[in-house]
Amino acid sequence: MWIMRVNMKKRKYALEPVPDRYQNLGGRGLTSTIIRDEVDANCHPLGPNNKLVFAPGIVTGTAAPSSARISAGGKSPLTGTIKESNAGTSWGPSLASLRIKALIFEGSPEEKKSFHTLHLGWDKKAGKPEASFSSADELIGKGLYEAFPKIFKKYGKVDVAAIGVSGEHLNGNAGIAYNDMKNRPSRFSGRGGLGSVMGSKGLKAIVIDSNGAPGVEIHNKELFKEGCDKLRDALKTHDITKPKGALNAYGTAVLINILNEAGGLPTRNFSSGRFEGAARIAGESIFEGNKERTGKELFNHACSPGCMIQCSNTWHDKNGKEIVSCVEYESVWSLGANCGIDDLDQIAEMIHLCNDYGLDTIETGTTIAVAMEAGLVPFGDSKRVIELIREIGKGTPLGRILGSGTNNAATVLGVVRNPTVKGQSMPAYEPRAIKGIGVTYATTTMGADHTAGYTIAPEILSVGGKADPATVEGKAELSRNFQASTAVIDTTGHCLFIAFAILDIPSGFQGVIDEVNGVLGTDLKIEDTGTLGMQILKMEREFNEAAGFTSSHDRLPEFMSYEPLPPHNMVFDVPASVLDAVYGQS
Amino acid sequence: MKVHIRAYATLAQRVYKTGQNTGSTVDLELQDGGSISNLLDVLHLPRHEAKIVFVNGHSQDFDYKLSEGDHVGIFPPLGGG
Repeated sequence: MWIMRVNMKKRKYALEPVPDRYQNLGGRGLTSTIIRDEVDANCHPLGPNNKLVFAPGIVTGTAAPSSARISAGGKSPLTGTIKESNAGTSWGPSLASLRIKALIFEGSPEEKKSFHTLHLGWDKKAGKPEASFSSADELIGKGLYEAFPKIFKKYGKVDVAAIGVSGEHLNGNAGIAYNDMKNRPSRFSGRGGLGSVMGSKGLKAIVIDSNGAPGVEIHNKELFKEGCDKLRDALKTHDITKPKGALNAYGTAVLINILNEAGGLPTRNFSSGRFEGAARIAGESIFEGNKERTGKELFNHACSPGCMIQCSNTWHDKNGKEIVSCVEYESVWSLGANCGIDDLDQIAEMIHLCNDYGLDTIETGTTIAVAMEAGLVPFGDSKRVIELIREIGKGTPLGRILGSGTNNAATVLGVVRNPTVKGQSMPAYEPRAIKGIGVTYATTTMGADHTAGYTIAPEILSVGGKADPATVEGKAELSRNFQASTAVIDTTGHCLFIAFAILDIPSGFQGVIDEVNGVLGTDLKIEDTGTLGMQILKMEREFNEAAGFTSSHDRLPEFMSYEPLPPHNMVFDVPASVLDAVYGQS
Repeated sequence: MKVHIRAYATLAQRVYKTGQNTGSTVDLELQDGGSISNLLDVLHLPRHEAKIVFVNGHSQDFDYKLSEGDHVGIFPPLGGG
C-alpha cells in the first residue's frame, strides 16, 4: 500500500509507504487524520496550504457488498471546518485496486486558470502505481455531460473524478463528480465545496485506469468471506434494503411523503413543514411516472459495483427518453418542495444542470430558496429557477453569489431565515419538528449534515428502535451514538444505507466487523466501534477548534428558536446545555 | 366514525382503486373508538407490512384509538437519505 502525494505547483508525484498509524484507517478516518496532521487549520481553503485528500474505505475494492465509497477530504471553503464528503462510484474501488490508500494533492499552480488532468495507472514492470499529467484545456468551460464522454473517448475503460465549471469558478458550492456504472457524471462528493478546492489546485480531472492492478490485499480471506456473507444476508432480508424493497423500487425520494406526514418536510425556505405538492414529487410518483412513460416497471440500479441495495433512479420524459439520473430525495426536496415546485420534469432539468455544472443539489436548492425569500424570483417559478442555475453555470455576478452557497447568499440578500449551520445549508429534515436531527446539524463537525448522525432512523422510520421526534430528552446521546457509528461506517467504505439493515439485524453488524478484520488482520470488536468513532470525531473537532470554532458555533440559526413551524407549530427548543452535552460527555 | 386514509409506497396498490393516485385521501367508516389495529384489519393490511402509522402528523402505536375526522397516513418499512 502507498500514499501518493501530488505536488500541484510542480506537477510531480511521489509514492510513500503508509505510516504505521494509518495502517488500520481508510475512508473518512484517514482523510480526516491526514488533514488534521498536515493542514494548518487557519489556512485559506482555496490557498496553497490546503490539501485535498482522497481515500477509499477499508473494504472498498473488495467483494464486500455495498462498499464502493470514496471519501474526499480537506478544509471546506463553505464552512471553514474540516470536511469529508463521500460518494459511491467505481472510481473508489479503482483507486483501491492500485493499492493507493490515500491520494493527497497539495500546493497550487503559479499560473492562474491552468487546469490539468492526472492519469493514474499500474506500472506492471515496476509493480507500483504510476501517474502522469496532461493539459485539460479541451475540457475547460465544458459541462460535465460533454466532458465525461470526451474523457472516456480519449482514455477508454477508465474511471473519472472531475470538477465542473463551478469548480473552475471556485464556487463554495462546487462538488466533485464521479462516473456511475453507465459513465454518467452523476455520483458526487457534493457537500462542502471540495470541488473548488480541487479547482484551486488546477486539477480538472483524475482518470484511473485500473487495468492490471493487483487489487486490495486481504489478510484473512476466510473471515472476510464470512463477514461478507453475514452482511449480504442482512441486506437481502431487511425490508428497506432487500431487492424490490422501498429503496430499490422508489429510491431515496420515498421519504418525501413520510416527512410530509410528519410535518418535517422543509417547504418554501423552511417556512412550513408540509408541502401541498409533496405527493407529486415523491418516489412513488417517480416510479409511476416512469412506468407510464417507458411502458414498464423500472426498478432502480446500482450506483457502483457490488451494491445490493440499488437505490439509484432515473427520470424519463414523455417520449420515454431518460432526462437524468439520479432524482434523489435531497435533490427533489431542495429544488422542489423547498422552492415550492411540484413538477418532476422541471426538477429533473434542474438536477441535470447541477450535475452538468458540478454543483451540490442540496446547497443549490437551499440557496435559490433564500433568493426567493429575498424576492428575486417567486416561490414556485420553476422556469426562473432554471435561469438562476444557468447564471451559476455562466459565472455571472449573480451566479457567483448564488454559487457561493446559502449562507453567503443570505448575507448578501439580507435574508434572516437563513437555514445554515457553520455556513452549510440544512438538508431535507426540519429540526423544529424532529429535534434529534437538529442536535446533529448543530454539533456535527461538518456543518448542517443529515448523514453525519441520521437520527431520522429511530425518530421517523422506526429503524434501530423508536424515538419521539418532538421530545428533547435523550437526543444528545442519540445524536452522539449516530455520529460515532457513522464515522465508523464512513471509514469502512460501506454505504451508510447498510445501517438500515445492521441496526435491526445484529449479525449484519458483526459481518461488517468480520470484513474489516479480514482485510486488515486486526481484532476489532463490535464494542470497540463506539470508541473508534469518537476518536475520529474528536480529531475532527480538534481541527475545527484550531480553526476558531467553539461551542457557540454548535447552534441552529436563531429564527428557529422563535418562529413556530406549521403544522405542529413547534420551535427548536433544545437547550444549549443539551447541545454541548453531545461532546461534553465523551 | 369517518377517518381519512392515505397509503404510501407498496401499500398504495392495496388501498387505492385504479386511477387513484398515491397520496390521495380515501374516507373510511370505522366503528367508534376503533384503533389503528382495527383500521388495518378493515384494510386487510398485515402488521409487518404497515410498519409506520401517522395520525394527524404524529406517529402512533397500533393500539392508539382513532377519533372522528382523524387523518391517517400508513407506510410500509422504508428508508432513504
